[in-house]
Amino acid sequence: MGTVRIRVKRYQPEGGAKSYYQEYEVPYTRGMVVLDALNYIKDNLDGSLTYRWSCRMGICGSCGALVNGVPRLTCATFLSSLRQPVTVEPLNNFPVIKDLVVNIDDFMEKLVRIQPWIVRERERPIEEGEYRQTPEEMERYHQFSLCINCGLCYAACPVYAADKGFIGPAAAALGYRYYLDSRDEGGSRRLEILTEGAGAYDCTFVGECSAVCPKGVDPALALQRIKLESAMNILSGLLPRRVVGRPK
Amino acid sequence: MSGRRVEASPSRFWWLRRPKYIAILLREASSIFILLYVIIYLQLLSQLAGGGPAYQAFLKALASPPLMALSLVILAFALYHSITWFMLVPKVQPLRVGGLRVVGMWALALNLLLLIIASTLVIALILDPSLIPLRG
Amino acid sequence: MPSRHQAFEAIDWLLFAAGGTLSAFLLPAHILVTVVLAPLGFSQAVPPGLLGVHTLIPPILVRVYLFIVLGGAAWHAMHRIRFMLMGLGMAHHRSLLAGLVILVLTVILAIAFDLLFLTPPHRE
Repeated sequence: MGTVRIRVKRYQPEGGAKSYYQEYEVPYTRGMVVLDALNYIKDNLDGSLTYRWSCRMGICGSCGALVNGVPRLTCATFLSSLRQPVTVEPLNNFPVIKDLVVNIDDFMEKLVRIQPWIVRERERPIEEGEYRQTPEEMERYHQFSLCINCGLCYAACPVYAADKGFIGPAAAALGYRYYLDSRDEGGSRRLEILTEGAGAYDCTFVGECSAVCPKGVDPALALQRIKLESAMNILSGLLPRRVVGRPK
Repeated sequence: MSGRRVEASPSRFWWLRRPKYIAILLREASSIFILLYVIIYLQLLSQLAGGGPAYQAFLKALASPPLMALSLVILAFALYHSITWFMLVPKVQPLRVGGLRVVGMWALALNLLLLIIASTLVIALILDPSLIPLRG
Repeated sequence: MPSRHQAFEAIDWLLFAAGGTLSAFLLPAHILVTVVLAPLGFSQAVPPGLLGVHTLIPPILVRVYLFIVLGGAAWHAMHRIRFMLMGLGMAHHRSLLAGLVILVLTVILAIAFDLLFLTPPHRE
């Protein structure tokens, strides 16, 4: 059984404001993921190592980190696929609280800002029954509902890097998920929320958000379609004739 | 819970040192060369309006090694724009031929074919019919 | 109701997309003929339609076509340049950048319009 070298970026606010790298040697067994190595380090080598994790199976979204420079879930990244020394750093674009733990308040604020709930002009009373949806209608937004809020997409986005005001991939994808939901009546108001300020139009279609998403969401697609729908919407408002292609 | 920024703001440009992002930056930078072409072309038209000798002189200048090199670089970037554009657009608006969705490499190939056809038509009909005579 | 900012971004984006598509399909041929082959003597730099020579396409349509292609390419380029500058540190100066872009595009489009529609065709 060999060992693997793990290089972790450390930062302790109480120890002065400089970050530094610390290298550990971790015994390697087949099938180990980066999170296993971090847990070994914390349990056996250095109890001060601080990081987030929970489900260890790629569904809670807690364990996001930069692994060899790429935003990954540490629980879903096999050591066998990585070049040594395996470098683990906190996610890009977020303020670092300690070691690998980052402050995701901005991310959370944006998720809420886009109103991630069914919006109705008129709520149906319970007696009128449930809102029904065909499998085809569900399929339209299904992909965008798979987000686990891990924040990897924000870490990969150079637009967000340059402008923290940018609405960002996950929030846009979530907003688009509700826009596409046949039960939702948010319509063009949703498009306005998604494009105001440093909104969807600030996206330059780099596409790295979709490349790093561990759940197969395509936020880049959502952002481009938001631009297109919003633009067609505004155009049809400016022109006297009706423009075909309204979604519902 | 408070978060303290560790590094000063230059870390905002971490992406400038990653190959994937550099390819994207080049894609965006192709726009500078496209703008250059528009400016050169407008200058050409302006020299044309000025009369034969001014126009000929400008054409001669364009043939000089540094400007010819620039023109080739512009052409290369224009093609890079085309290729990356053909890879981007189908991701947003899938192409449909008949009832089939055309994706990935097939979409790129189809678009490149359309590029060749469009180029041929535009040369033959507008730019220089003598280069590609359409009838006889 | 969309804000002025949203209306501006929407129109800018639509013209960017249109210009990008036109540029993708047509610019390589334009560049090849005009500034590579022509200076070397292998082709005409200027479409014969611009010189008043009647080809399959009437001269006025050649001028309109050139205005659309050049205008579209310029719009596309300026949009990308604006967002490149935002990505390279000028994100908090969006109004300034938007103003600059509008200024540059106005100048370019005005010059193009003047050269293509207000200047009499040159006769050899």
